Amino acid sequence: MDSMNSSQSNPILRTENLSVQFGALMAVGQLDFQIYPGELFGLIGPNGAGKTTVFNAITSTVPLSGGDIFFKGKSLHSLKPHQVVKRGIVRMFQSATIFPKIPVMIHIMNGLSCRTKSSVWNSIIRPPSFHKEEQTSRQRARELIQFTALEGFEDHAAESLSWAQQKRLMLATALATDPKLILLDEPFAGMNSDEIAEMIALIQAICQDGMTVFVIDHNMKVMQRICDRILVLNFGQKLTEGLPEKVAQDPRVIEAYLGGD
Amino acid sequence: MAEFLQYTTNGLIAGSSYGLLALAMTLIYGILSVPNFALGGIYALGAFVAFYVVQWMGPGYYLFSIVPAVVIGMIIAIVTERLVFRPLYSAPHAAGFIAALGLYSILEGSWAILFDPTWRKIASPYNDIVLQLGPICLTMQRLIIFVFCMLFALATYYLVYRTLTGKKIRAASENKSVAQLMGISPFTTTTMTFIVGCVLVMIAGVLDAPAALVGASMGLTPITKAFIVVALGGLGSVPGAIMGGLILGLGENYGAAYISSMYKDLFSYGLFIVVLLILPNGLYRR
Amino acid sequence: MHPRFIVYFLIGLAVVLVPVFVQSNYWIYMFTMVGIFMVLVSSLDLAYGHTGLVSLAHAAFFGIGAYSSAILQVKLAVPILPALLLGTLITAIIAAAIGWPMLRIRGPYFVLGTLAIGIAIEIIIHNWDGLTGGVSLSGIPMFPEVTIFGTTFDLSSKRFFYYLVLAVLVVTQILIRRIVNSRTGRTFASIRENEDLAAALGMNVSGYKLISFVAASTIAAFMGGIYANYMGAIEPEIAGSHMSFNLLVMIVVGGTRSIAGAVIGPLLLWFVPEFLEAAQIYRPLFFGAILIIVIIFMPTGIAGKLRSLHPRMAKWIP
Repeated sequence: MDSMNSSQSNPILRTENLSVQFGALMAVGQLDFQIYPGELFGLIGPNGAGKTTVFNAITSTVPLSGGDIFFKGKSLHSLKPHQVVKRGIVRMFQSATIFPKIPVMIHIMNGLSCRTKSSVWNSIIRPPSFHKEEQTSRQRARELIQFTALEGFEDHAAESLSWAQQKRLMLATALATDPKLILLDEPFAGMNSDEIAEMIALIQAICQDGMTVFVIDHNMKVMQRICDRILVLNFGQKLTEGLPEKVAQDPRVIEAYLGGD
Repeated sequence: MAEFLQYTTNGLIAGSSYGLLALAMTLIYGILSVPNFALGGIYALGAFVAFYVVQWMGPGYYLFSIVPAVVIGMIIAIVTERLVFRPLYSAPHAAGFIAALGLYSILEGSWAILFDPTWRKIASPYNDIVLQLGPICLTMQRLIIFVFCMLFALATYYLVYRTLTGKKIRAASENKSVAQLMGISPFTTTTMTFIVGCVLVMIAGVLDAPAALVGASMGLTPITKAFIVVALGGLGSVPGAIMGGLILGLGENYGAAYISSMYKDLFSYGLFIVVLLILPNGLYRR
Repeated sequence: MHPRFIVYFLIGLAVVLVPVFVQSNYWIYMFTMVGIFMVLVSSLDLAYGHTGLVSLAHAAFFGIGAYSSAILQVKLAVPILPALLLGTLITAIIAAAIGWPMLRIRGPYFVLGTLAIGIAIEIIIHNWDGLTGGVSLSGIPMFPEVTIFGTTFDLSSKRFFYYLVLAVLVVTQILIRRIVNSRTGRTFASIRENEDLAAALGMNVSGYKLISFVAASTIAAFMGGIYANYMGAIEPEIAGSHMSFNLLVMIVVGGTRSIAGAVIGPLLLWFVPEFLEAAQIYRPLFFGAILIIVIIFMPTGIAGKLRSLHPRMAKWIP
């Protein structure tokens, strides 16, 4: 869990002079940072520091005003959002972003869409390859349902689940896209300590499987506990970056945050 | 050159009417997040009010018909807001739009039943007075259309940007929940916006009536054009609606004069498609 | 096996045997026309009910399909079947061309685009009388007689058209069902439920919207081609926004994403008024009122409301 993975390998995600500007407001300015494969990388900062904007920039939801982002060495410049997912980056939103009326099983299968290829014609004619793919998709969805402890809810509509269950559903759906890097936007928001513990266990489990995780959250204690390294943002600029203990004791961070959590 | 000025004049006159309609629609859109297509039926009602006032009281009373039009507009605004749109505030936007279409159908259908579906002309005294301003020729009626439309548009602009009522409308359209926290009741503000919108549209109907044919479905094309103006000028933008309306009027008339007059109405649709092609990522959202 | 299949079978049997027992041409015509509306409403449901695209241009493609096939037959003497297929293909291409710029955009802009298309196409058909015959295009040939294995079938008979429309209706339902229960259909549903999330999960949203739009329009076009030969003469109004509006009312009132809905809509909103010979002039008022009542009090339509009454009901209403 320490920097064993870090300095040896190439970064899986790297930003160079990243800037995002909205009119007169510089949401993110000249940001440089790297994330290494297999890391659990954290991003913290006071409200309005530009954290979600960084995610939006990576997923191509907002255009860059300057600089570039490199994923596995290749630039993400001018990709459309769905192409970014195909490259292997998926994002989980902080608010309840689900398909409300869709049952859990199908919800997760939706995540698999970008990795499967049955076309309209296939669905009409239904050759054996169609049925094979449907079967594999269901199988994979079942695995993810087990992994996120949603057994028994396969046919329940997404909106009928509890908040914590919905978060796990969002995670399962995101994992279905077979990413190499997953962006988690405030995964612990609105949860009690039991639910947080469950979520931490899930996140650590996927990290163990080799996934790189990039997390935003306000909960300083949790972030300190789970992250390999932490980046601190304030007013769109990098304040500091490094090991959790070091960052937590940095006076600038303490000042900007006034205690956190 | 003389012709160009003539086309420009015609364009501005038509555009002022589009601008007024677009203004009404954009105000209601700002507050409802739904384009109120039913305004097309209300526009026709305005024209019918003018028709019957002239028929019962004589052509001299044509301008007076604005008064009953305003009153009826207010009543229609309150009734439709309460009965049709209020129940749908928390429903998805598509539902509100479909309800607006249904309402348009009810209105158009009702006018056809009440007033006969035949088209008719209004005898306005101003239609017969022809003015000659240099190389430009226009009827008094058309001048009245332009002047009144611009006056009401500017009055509404003033209302929305300079008065407290207007500020409330704008606040509520920016962010309903925050406005509510500040004590601005969303319901009365919405009703007020509706009243302003419907009244404007009734007036537009009264003004346009003598220059066009009056019939139950006369509002369909103007309201579609207004919708296009609002979409292109910015949903919820007041200056965008007024300017956009004028630009559309000019474009239509230049197009009709220099390209083809048979497809004049299609100009707005063509413009819409062309703009979409140039900005394929969609027009900016409010 | 669930008892509802017995009911479906009996209904199906009755539908198939109608031309055998019903002699009156008027009734055959009524059933054929309501079948045509059911095909149009089902295809609209693919775009609206499943993918969430509020389209006021559906009738426009029905009309273009009818006119393309008719013009090919009347002006270029193309035989019926190739004209039908070619007309459908032409309309599919037009639908793709129109849809492509419009589907990148959201909500009100898209609806507006379809409305503008709907109005524009009716105007174009009406004005371009050199090509389309203006106010009406007539002289569309009847189906010929066909002799197979010594038996002569008179395909120009109205009874034949009844079966033809029925066949198209059945095939359309199968097609739509297959599309919906597949990766494509799940993508449509995702776009409908939460477009932003669909994009965030790597789905090509505008691409799939286009597929849905073109598929729906193509089915409508095919039905249009058949309609042209059935009627012998067609008018621009079949492509107009009033017609599109009526189709939308039928699917909303009948109920989206439901075979029952696509059946109830046309029955209630075309068959019943026609049968009662309700004057045309009262229909827009009636349609508008019922639309508003349904969208406020039963947004899932009549079929949806019936389904939600009791969990057992859901099984009975397909």
